Amino acid sequence: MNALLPFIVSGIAAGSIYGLAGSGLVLSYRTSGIFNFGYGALATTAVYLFYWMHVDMGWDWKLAFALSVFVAGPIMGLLMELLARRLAPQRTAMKVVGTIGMILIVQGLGTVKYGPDAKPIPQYLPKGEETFQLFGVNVTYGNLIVVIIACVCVLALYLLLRFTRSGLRMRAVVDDADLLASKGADPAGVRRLAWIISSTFAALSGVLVAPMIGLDPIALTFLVVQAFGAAAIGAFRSMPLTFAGGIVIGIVADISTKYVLDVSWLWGLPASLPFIVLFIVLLVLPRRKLVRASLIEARRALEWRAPVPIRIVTGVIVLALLLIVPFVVGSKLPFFAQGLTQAILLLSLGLLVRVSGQVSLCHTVFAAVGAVAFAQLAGQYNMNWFLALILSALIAVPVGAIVAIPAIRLSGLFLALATFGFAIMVERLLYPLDFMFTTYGTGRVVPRPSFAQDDKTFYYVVLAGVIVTAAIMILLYRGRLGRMLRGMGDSPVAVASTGLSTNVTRVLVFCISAFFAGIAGILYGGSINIITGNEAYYSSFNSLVLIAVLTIAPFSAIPWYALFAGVTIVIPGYITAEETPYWLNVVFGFFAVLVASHGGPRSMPLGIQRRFDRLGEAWRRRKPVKAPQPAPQSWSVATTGNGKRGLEVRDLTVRFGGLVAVRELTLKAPTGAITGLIGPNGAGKTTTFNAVSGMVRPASGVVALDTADVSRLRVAARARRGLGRTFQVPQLCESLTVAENVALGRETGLAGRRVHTQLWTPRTDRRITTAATMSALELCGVADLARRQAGGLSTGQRRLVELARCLAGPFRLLLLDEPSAGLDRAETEEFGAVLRDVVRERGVGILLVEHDMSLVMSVCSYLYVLDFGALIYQGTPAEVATSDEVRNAYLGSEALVAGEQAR
Amino acid sequence: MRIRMASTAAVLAATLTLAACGSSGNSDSNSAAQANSANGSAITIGIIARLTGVGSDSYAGTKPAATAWEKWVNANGGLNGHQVKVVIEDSGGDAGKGLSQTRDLVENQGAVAIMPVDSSTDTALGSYTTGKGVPVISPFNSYPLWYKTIGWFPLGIQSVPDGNNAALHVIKDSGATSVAAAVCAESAACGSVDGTMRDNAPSIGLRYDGAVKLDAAAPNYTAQCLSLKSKGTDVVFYGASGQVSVKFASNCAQQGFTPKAFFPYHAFNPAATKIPNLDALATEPTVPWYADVPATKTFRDAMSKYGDMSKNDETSMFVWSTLEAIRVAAGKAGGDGLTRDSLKAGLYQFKNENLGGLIAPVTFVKDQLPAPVKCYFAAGYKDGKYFLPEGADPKCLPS
Repeated sequence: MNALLPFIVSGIAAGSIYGLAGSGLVLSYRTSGIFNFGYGALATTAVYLFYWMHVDMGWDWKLAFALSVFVAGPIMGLLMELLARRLAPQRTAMKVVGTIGMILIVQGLGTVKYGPDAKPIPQYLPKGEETFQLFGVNVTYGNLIVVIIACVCVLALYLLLRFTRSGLRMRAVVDDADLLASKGADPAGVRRLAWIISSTFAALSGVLVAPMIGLDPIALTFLVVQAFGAAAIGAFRSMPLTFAGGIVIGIVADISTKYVLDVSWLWGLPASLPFIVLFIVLLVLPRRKLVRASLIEARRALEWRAPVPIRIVTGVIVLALLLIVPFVVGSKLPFFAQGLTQAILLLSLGLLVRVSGQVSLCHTVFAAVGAVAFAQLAGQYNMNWFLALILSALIAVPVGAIVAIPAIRLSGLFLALATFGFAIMVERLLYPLDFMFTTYGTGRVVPRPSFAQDDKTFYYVVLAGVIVTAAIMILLYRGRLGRMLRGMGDSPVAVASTGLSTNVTRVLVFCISAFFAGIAGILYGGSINIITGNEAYYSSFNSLVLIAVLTIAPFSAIPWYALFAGVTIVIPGYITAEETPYWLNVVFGFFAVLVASHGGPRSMPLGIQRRFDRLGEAWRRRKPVKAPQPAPQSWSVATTGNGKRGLEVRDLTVRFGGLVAVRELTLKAPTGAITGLIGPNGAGKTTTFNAVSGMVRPASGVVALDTADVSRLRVAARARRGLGRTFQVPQLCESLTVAENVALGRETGLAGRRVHTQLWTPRTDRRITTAATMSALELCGVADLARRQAGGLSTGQRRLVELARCLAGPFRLLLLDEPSAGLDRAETEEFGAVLRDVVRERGVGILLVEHDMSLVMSVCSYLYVLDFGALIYQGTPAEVATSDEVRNAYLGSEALVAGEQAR
Repeated sequence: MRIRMASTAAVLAATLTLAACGSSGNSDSNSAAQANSANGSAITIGIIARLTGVGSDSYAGTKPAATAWEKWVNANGGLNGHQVKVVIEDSGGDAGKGLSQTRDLVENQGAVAIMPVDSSTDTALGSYTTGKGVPVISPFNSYPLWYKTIGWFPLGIQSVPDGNNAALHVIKDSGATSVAAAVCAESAACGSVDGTMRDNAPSIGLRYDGAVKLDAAAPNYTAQCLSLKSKGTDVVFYGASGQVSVKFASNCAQQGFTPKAFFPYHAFNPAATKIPNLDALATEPTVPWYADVPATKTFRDAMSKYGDMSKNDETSMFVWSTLEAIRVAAGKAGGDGLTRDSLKAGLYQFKNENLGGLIAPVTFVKDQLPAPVKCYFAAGYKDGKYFLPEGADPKCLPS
């Protein structure tokens, strides 16, 4: 232990910086729901200001410190609050990109002014360089002051949050801003205060650590990124834990430097430790602790697809342009080849981000793995080029599967963070190792095909790669997997509840994406001939840039956005002035922030869309319209129940911590009948549904469907066994049309959990799905809404669409959770008729949770009454209406009378 | 927008052509000072250098040296009767850009030779330059392709493993008993020295204490200093940028650990000398600029007169040596002016050629791969002054 003490002491200084920065980061996240990936940019800005004032202008350090921390910090905080307000309702990708844009702007501007090389900043704290001894280490007073300041600030923040009114408001604003507003406190004001504190912490961290690192924008930004690991230890909530976590990371990193001295393959460990922590914490933290700060997210706009003839013509034109590139651009050809490989990379990333909504910040790792494997197979072992290409890309696939593991349990921001941690971890720990880019600066040679050694032919090889990739992506998108991904991207709950094994889907899409990223990496390597671990293309920073480019690229359709964005790599080739790359960064960052705060790039102006549509129709009129296929024999569900079929629940108990939400509930919901589950608010009805459908694990009890025990099955598996449900808050796929939503009800079950069924659609499936969709739409009376985007519907319409989705699927037992809420009297009656029709025609069973007593009394044949989680009565509606227990607990006389009248 | 540490250039593989011992005489000044023909077209020589971007500080001496040489040669009659033009392109460390600039120099500006100053563009140039028959010349030879390409003319020792072995010898000769490496964390190339040292240090009689990685974003390197201090390392081999090296040395000094420093190639630049109380050694493929031999005196005079001595660093010497090699080859080739083929013909006449003491003797044979150079120069800095730990003559690795 004594031998470790010096390292513990030395680790505390860096650790306290991580803790300070981490605390500020967690504060802004908790109060605004935005995880500030660009937190480091705030620190860097403050340091630039400090440098300019203290070193350039020669002002006293105290003045420079005060201005750069206590004036610039709050100003940045106010600006950040404005940005955060715009970003808060946006999708995860936009939130990430909006904050990344800040990094690019700050780094670009700073480099323009001061150049890219680090400039030393002399220690300015009084007696900063003098040392005293502590446990065998000479500690500088500068470090000591930093540690003290960090501790004091975090402690003050903790006390503020715990014991003051402002602090209470800050904690409240994320949980329920409206409630806070109703109390007279201004949520925006509270958030502003939080951002001011957070940005000031960032500025403080930066300026305190500046003498140790110097004026180095990349290093400064990066230091703060290491605070993410500290924030993870604090579970993104607790400031004291974050601070402690930062200290722990600092200490462990320093201790590890002692041990990796002799173990060269672990060299990268100290530097990658914060990210290993980040990745592991996100993997193991219980899900309930990873509370998403905000649940509302803007939906994607409905995509406009140009008419087929327009698309064909555009495709031909673009292809022709790409084909003549080598004859036109002369010596700049390598840039264009690289741009095309970037297009392939973006196509593969687009599948993840644009189609399935999963923000992955480690994409370049797949490209690197593919390239390195290829260099060894084709270069060292002289394998056939094409064979090596495919095999190497396949080697990237398991890496994709590994990243899919966090994707299964995480979503949104936390997935972005986990993949980010993964990328940096791999870059620092594995890239420098022998089996990756080798330990020599020489890197690896990436050979070209023997017939394409010259640049021109190789360009065409890459172009062929782009065309093949684009074609496959389009096929996937328009096929079953594309539909599953889009559904899953909008509402994983919805698609799982109708039978899609989303785990399989996620792994599948990550694997496919990794494969094509590998191809891109290989082709890029071939274009530059030699690859090293330093190559910008494979760096973790480039993963961030890729996401930013992808997110702001115009055109929503594959492959245009990828081609457009890919070609941007060409620009630096043409503009060769020294400061150009830095200005390009600034411009790019600026647009990233702008576009992200608007929720995405502008779609094509409506006027142009309409013109294209008219052109398309004019062409279409010349073609005869195909007659629709006759619907196949519509399946009929289980024959009328004989009492044994349907849902049976025995002794179901659900606990949340110490609270018993459902207590030993036993009920039966046979097919061919509608069974009601009623009770006051909080009685445990929805919890029962959640337990029955598999979303919540009960403490004890059995759930059986058609006498088979399904208690161990997951949500999707139960759905495939025939259990469908609707939700108290309708879970629709907001950006899809009504018809697409309803179709999911059938198709997800067909996709199921097998890889081949998730990938492609047998022809009969198509007809089944279409028929089921149409019949369900008509049954629920929403056929006229078929082409409308689901997100724009009223509550009543949403409920009907959700019911239609249930009816489209082959479910034998439907769990309907307050389906008539939001419907008026007439609609409710119609709804009741629909339910009766459905049961009569298809023989399904329904378990209905409802508050509308007239509906309950009119459609249900049997009722169960819950109160405080326990069954207090069961019987026919007439019996329930006259029961004293029920009346006392729940009904009240008015409702009884209403029930009587309805009969 | 990417980090490329200066040190990656410093520690990359290079190959060295072994020359038989023996020195050759060398004409000290220009070949017959012919009157330059004002109508003759200028001979263009291309230089690709990392003048901007991260790590460009190490190559700041490129322009002054090239300008000084150009003016000096032109003032003394040019090359074979023609004026000389040295065009320097800034690659910013980007291989793609460097290749594109090389194409422009060769195809549009008629360059007769290309010198890549930093190694970031080396590999990108390989197939293009051999395809066009353009000679590529430099004493800084980091990649194996320098010794595997006919038509490339390495003037110096190959970095890995020979350059690193040379470093070990210089360190041993100084009386040290142990060495450790302090390398940048961002690039695998920085760490390549570990393998060589681990394998070869014991046989040379040095204890190898391992390598510490210095992350530019780390607030301090106290832990790394403590690790090496506990082992009692004599010499630290630096494979990191100047800024990082200075910080490491200061942090170690704070912990009472003041080992000798070793800098390879470019790393031994003015930034490194900012380390307080520096006691340093270095190996170079060219004679240290402050050595007292006639060839360096010419260099210093030309730099003072036509260039900028204050911006001088090791790169200046690399550039000067390369351009001198071209001048000497032009002289051997003779004729009017200079073309790629005549330049190569002149270079193939190099037999144990040392350019007046600027480089270790090199020999080039037509259509054959160059033989590795196994000789190097030792440099040093102590008590605020540069010195020559082993004299101005090249030392050679034992065969």
